[in-house]
Amino acid sequence: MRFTNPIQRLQIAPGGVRKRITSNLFCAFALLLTCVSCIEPYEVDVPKQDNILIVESMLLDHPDYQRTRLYFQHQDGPRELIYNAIVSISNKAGDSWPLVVTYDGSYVPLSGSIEVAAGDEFQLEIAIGDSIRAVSTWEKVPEPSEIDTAFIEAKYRSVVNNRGIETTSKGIEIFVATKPVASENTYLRWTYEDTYAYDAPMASDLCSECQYCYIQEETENFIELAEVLNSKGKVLSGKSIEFIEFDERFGIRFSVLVKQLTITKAAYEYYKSINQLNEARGSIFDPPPAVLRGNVSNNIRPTETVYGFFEVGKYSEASAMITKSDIDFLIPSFYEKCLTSNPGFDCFDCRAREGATKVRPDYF
Amino acid sequence: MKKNYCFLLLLVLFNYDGNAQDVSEWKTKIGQLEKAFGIDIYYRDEWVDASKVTIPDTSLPRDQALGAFLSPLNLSYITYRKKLVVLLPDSTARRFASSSEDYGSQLKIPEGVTIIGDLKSFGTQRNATIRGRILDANSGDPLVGANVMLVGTNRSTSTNEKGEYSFQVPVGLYDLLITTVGYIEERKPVAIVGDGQLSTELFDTTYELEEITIRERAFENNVTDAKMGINSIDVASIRRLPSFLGEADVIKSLTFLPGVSSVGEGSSGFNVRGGNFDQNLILMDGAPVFYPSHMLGFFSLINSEMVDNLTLYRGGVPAKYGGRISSVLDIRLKEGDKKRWNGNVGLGPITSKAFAEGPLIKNKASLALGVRVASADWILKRTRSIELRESGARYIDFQGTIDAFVTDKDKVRLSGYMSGDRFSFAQDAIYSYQNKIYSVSWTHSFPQNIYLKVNGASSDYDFEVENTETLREYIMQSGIHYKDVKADLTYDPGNGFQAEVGVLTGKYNIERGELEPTTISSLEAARSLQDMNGIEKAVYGSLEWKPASWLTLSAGSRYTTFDQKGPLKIYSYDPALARDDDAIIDSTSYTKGDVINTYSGFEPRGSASIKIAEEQSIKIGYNRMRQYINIVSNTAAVTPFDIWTTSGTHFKPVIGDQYGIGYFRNFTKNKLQTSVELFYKEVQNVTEYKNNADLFLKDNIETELLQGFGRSYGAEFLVQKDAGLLTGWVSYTYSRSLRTINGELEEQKINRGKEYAADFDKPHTLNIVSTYKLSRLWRFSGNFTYSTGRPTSYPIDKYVFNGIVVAQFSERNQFRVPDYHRLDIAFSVDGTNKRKAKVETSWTFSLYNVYGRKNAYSVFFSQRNSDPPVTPYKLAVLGIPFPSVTFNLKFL
Repeated sequence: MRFTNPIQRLQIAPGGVRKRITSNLFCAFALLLTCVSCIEPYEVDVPKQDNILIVESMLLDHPDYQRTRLYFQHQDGPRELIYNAIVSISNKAGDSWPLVVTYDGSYVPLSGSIEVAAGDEFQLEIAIGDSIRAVSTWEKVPEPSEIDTAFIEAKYRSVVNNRGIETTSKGIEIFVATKPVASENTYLRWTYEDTYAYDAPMASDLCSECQYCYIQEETENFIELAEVLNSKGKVLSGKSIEFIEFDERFGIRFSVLVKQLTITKAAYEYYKSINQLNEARGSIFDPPPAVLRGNVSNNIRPTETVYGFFEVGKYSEASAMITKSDIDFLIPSFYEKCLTSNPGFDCFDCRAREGATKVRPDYF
Repeated sequence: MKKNYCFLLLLVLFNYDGNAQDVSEWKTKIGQLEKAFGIDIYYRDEWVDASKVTIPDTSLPRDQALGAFLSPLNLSYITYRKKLVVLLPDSTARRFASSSEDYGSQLKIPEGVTIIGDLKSFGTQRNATIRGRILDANSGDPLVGANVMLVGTNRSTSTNEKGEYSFQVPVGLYDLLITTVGYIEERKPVAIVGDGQLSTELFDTTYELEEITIRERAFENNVTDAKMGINSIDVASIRRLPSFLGEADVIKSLTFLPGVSSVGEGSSGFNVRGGNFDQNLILMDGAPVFYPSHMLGFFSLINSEMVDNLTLYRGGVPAKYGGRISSVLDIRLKEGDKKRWNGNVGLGPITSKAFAEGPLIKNKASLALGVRVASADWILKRTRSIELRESGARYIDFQGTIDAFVTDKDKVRLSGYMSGDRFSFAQDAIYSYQNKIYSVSWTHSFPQNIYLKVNGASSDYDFEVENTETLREYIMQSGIHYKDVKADLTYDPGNGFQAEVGVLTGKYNIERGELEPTTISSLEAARSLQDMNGIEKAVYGSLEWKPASWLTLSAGSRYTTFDQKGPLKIYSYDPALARDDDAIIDSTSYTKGDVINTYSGFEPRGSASIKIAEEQSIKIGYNRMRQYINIVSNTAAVTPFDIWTTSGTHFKPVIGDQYGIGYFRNFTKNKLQTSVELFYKEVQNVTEYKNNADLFLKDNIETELLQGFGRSYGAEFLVQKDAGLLTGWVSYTYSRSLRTINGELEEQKINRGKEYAADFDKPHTLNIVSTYKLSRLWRFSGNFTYSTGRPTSYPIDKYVFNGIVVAQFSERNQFRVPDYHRLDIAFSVDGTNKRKAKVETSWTFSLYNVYGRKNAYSVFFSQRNSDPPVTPYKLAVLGIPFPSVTFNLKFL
């Protein structure tokens, strides 16, 4: 199953090695102070801003990914969806597409979808009340690099824990391989959704609806990126995008739909910075955190940072699955999970699980 | 006549018994005077006209009696040590000497009298220059900063780094008093008859007096010397201070000086007057050191046993130094004992060391050799983590010098340093780095007080990571290689005037990084960055003179050029865009030997010291320095894999201008020294990393860096006590270090072009360093240090974007980590108080961070699965009290 025949080795972004060196150096640094260095929560008091605009906007060549959500971030509070904005997308040719808001707060093209071709340049414009006239920089759609296959392997893997210590764990690893990339420098971002089959172990025979469901999950807090340089016509193979430790979800069948986005360099840098900031460990080898600026700014108050990004790119997807028989390791069963004094309702009705559906997803 | 005391040549000369006849009678009369006043009188018989000798009136006070007695004889007298009276003809010494008689050949020289100058020329000079060398009597090492003074006059000077002194004095009779801290003072009666030499050796007072010294040069020199911002450090005193894990650290001890700070514990660099760590030139016997640490920064590269002295120039940098804009740390290694072999061994929890020195050819050539071996493995083996148990951290270093007098006038020194550091993490990766630093120098003394010194140096630093993790196997290497030759010519007649000229040419080769996969299955791609090459040349001249007794001036300039050399491919960028891979419009390839860019400029230096009263002076100074190489880094501390880069097409040289003014005042005969120094520094083309820059293995690094303007200013206060049971110093520094990066485009600005605090800006720093001598064998010492926390960026907000929690950080360095403070103490005890013991032992018990403060090295924000998003954490590097015991055994 493993994709083992790369046409030619690709140059993958150096980030991985750097991360490795710094993380190991951090360990070495930590080991020198074994037991004496300490990391502990710390109270900081910083003035927070209020009513900051968050832009979550995507324009890909797939109708599901032509939506914009806008929020206000309140001081110490949750974000608030904005329904009353006037939003439009325009291209350099002078075409303009007004977006309309849907019930879930997404702004989508009024009719059909916007054609997103490589080389086209788009701009997002937002007007809210009198105080916000936000506009993105012009974003050029990159040459698409399509995903070829995705595959899953069950394996041991070493992981670095929160203290920077490497440990071993068992699980599955999701890999992707691309078709030959289209341009010299390509920037890729992956995301995925997964579905596993769930057989409620304590479901009554009388309720057939309760017994078997598909549980769909969206990724959270997931960023996987690659910068592929000087590689036109080559393929990226065996690229690991995620490792998931074994749990009961692998008890029957587990499928993933991997989505590969060819994004702009600016978007790549933006995500990379988020990653870098989130992985900080405070060691002397960490690059210092820095202010993150997206590609949207408010013309009325230009010094105020607008959070978020207007992401333009190309979309492709591939699926992969693994069944229990492919896995040599012992996996906890659904039944074991329900053998408690107080089993969850989902032990009796599969539909009670979050993300449950009776409709089999296409990729499952 | 009693001859119970050692005496001057001149006295003897005057006491010559000639062939005079019938002298007994008047001699009796002189004898009466001697008896009456308890004095000895010296004279030449032929000066005494027997017919004019009168009966002395011993009822008068001594001076009147002598005056009355001598006046008819046309003689006058001088007294020496109250009891000795020398009779002289009223005529001048010159007239006396103008006769062609050779008195010298008729002399009987008593025991202990030291004659300086050639007797034959006696009287031809009114003033004479005396010079000499003061050495440690045990080791033969030069004593730096020893005070040499003529008792009863205001003439004094102190020895330079070679232990040499010189000054000009009127010919005459003096007591020469030589003192230096930690040594028994030496008083020598001297007859100065002309230009000459006097060298001597002092015995240390290890068991009589212990003092810590840091000096603004020696004693009153801190008042009279024109230069300021200079500290010479006595290494012996550093060893008495509490240290981390018992290893005396010469570089970390610098951070107790005013104007010097570091970014945190376990970091190897230091910052001087708001300068970055790569703006310090560290010279080891003239060869530059590029990465000065072991074990990632916990220990200094340099073995304190091998250091003779170190001088930190944080302002007032002499023209003979250049290449970095903030400071010069000049480390002189020990010269081996030319008389006998001796050595010592030391044992600490991590580091063990041995040192030996001795003559290769007695009194001609000597060797000093130090070795240190350190391992943290045994500590790691006791940890619970499997990975740590399989990890290791070790280092070893060798350091040696050979000094030889080839002739009386030629001295050669070879100096070498080699070190290797290795730390392995689990079984996955091995990190190693090596330093190889060598120098050879030849010093020749010409007549007329001219000295030539030629020095060749080479310094190599190599870093390597070998990763053995499955599918990611690779080796990555980087390094910097430097070679130079320099020559200095010094004219030092010893009358306060000194002139120096010199040239230097140095060559840099920087291997910026190469990554090679080591197996076919490795997923890592081979990558190689282009080397950087450059040649730096310098010529300099400087003068120091005293136009008036209250004024000392020093002026000089350095002219440097830097050639960026091929082979190198250089990219050009669209000038309308921010430098970025996408903005590359062209590239030019240069071949080996091509000069790609040349930068050059003058670096004027000047200072003046105005003595406003006894023990008080005001000094002013100006310095310009140019720097052609930089570390490319966005971490707060120096790391072993930091890469250097040179000035060139995309980076202009860094230019620093520093202005300073200081008030220096000593009290109680220079035993208590105080100073206040103010400085203001401007830096052009200071290099800063862009926000979220990725500097790793980046060939066209210009896309990640920006150049701008920096300034720093501050006030440094120092009170120091050198003598007594309690010694030490208190220093307080207020200083700021600020940056402005304001390019034309938005991407070329940091903090939207506004001025912000540099990463190492720490406004308040207080250091207290003290040693108290409890008894002849026991000493107690303590350090306290406080500083403002360093600047950092905090998240001012957090939000969710596309399912990702994002921390929104402030503009750069708008916040600070908590303040830092720490107390360390140490007790040391010596095993013997015998002066001539064959073996000396000593124990040092130290406690680092006595009250276990968890000083924040950094505050950071991590998004861990188990935590609420963006929780702030504080990392304390050494957050508990840290005890250690060291044992030292010295063979004499």
